[in-house]
Amino acid sequence: MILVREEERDKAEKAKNRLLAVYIAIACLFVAAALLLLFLSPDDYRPYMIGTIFITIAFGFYSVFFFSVQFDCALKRYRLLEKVLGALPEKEYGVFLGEDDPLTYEGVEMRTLRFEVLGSERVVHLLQGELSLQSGTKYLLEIHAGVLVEIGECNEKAFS
Amino acid sequence: MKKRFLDSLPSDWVKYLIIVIVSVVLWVWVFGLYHAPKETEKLEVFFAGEVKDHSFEDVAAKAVDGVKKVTLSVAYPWWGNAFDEKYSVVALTASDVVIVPKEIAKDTDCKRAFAELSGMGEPFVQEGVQYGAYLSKERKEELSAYFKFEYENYVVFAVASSLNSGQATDHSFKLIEWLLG
Repeated sequence: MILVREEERDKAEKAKNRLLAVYIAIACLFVAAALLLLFLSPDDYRPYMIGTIFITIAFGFYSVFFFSVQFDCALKRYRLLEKVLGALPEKEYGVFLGEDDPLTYEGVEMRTLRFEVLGSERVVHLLQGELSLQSGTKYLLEIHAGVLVEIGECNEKAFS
Repeated sequence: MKKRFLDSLPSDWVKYLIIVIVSVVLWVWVFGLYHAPKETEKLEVFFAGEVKDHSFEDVAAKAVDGVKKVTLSVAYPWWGNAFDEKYSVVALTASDVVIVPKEIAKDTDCKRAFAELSGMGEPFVQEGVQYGAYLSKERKEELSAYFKFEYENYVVFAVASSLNSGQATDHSFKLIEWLLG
């Protein structure tokens, strides 16, 4: 079962670019509105100035939220996918031990799975996909940069 | 997303605060700059005496169309040399309209300093030309709410070198008309 595909990276890149395009459009609207209020303001300009201050604060708050949360989140997901898909694959057999609380890895929150691989415990991150694993069952894992990319049922015959 | 936003608040609150302060300071400055009165939209009135109420500046600015700001500068005639200095530097060169007692007006070389006024109020004539106009008693009484008139007669002039005395606008003459009532 493939958990991370090439298309995911393209999707993440598109999502990142779309967010940026929306931000640029909103920034242009803000600049246009602010300049319009400035140039249309009469001699008694106070209400226009207060209006401009309010839209500037709103845009400023959105910018902080955008760059520190929204866009940052999309960018980190894209970078992680690029890293994962570009990393060397490791194929291992592992016995599923259990699942810990989700952890933030490379800025992206992921499920944390524990496997016993070659007699020692190994933590593997699951980026996406509804995966239900049975404790004590052996699986064939394909791991890229610590992230589970593909999982399959164990075929002991093929292994031996 | 909401969780990430809430998580970012403790570290990002300073940014939000800076945005509020910068927005207010920036736009107050920009609007102030954009609406700052041009040279032709402000008038400087020189008064030889004491000003009782500076609200005259607002009243006068409203009285003349196209003028956004009127400022008063004063010098007391009893200052002697200091008055002469300020009168020649501020009143005769940098001001637009001058209000001085008749005694000072007589000692001024009006030809060099003031624009000609014709048909305005009771004329103040020097060398056969009307340069100023006397403030009438009624008008003096009305304006005494703003100015302390300590002399019998006061004369109003338009400074010749001012942009507003016919070079670019005639705001000085309009203000004088309003002053004369």
